[in-house]
Amino acid sequence: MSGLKAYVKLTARDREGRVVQQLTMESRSFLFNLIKVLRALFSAQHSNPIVLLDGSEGRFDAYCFVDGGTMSTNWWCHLMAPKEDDSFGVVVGNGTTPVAIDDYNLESKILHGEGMGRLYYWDVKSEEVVVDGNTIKFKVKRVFEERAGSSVDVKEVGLIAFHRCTDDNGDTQIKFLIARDVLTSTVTVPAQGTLLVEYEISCTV
Amino acid sequence: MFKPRVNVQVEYEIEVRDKAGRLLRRVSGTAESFLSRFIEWLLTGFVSTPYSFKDRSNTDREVYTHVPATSGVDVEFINMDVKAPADNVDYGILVGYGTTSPTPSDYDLGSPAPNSELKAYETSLEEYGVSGNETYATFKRVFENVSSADKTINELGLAAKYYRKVGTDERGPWYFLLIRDVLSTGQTVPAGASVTVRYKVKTVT
Repeated sequence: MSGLKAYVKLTARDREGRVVQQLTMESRSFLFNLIKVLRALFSAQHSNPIVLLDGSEGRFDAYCFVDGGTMSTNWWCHLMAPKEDDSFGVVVGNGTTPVAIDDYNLESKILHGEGMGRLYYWDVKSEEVVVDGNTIKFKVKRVFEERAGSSVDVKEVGLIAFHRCTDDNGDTQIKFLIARDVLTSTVTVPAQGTLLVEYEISCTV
Repeated sequence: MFKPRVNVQVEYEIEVRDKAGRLLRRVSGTAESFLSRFIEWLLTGFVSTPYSFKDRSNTDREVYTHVPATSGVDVEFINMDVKAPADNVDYGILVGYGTTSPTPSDYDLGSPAPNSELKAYETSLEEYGVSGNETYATFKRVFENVSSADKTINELGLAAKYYRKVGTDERGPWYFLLIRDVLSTGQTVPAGASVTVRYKVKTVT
């Protein structure tokens, strides 16, 4: 069956860079928020409701219009979080509650940091679109680093998007979850080790 | 070989009705063909950097899916609007006569039906919501055979309009084909009859 597919790959390495654990799994995790975004974009509408990370309702603007003199900007579904920013992009956690279509956040996000139980969040990167026969795909990915000297278990991953629209209707800056996966098995980031999380999105004609 | 299941799917439905509005035939199926443009557009939205891809005239266009912070100038930004008005077959749901199988790089229908033969009404968002573990958005368009002969539809498509103006930097309107399907069996629309085409975009968790 064709359509948009995704899989998640996690690679844990020790402090010497050796691979100690790998997990590749189907991602089932595009959520209601993504359909809301697509609906809004396809309809070129303002003020579309979307569920924010705290469960409250936010505003997604798929149409931007400004007369000269007003500041404007628009980012529709930005995933490229900088380093040390765990508020969006590829994120990890240790929640185990099964995914529900209306999930709006990870169950238990692992925060950025260098203390015990935390992971250092590097910046999100992407790879170019690749056409391989009749399959088209691209990746977004992020490296996480353990710096406290104590291993960290990862049990869930997700994608949080950043949207901003500043126009005559005001300034909206929101973040919302578009994908979440509970891992089929725990991936442990060793003390002083790293974890690479890759989301590959593809479709086959 | 690892093959993830589909997470975002597109389904189509075609209803042919006679002049009196009586249903002659209904067929449905799974759309097989997100095109490379759709994947490229997703990527450019996720990374907020420009990307170049072909519009329906096979012309390379540099698409920005964001507006950087700016002030003092007029701004208008339509990202990917599919809600085409009546009689505009540049975008929205499209029908055609072509039979060549889709490829990822398709930039247009094989043989788009002219509006002078199959008059297009507006493309509208018919409904969206949640049903069980699915979330969906359904778009609809009616075409009327205003010619004097039967017309056989062999292909469907969904095209979007893009327009971005930031001060004097004006891009578009451009029209991009996102989905193209070739039907296993052509659907004949008698002279004077109508056909309703629906595309349903959904996620399955």
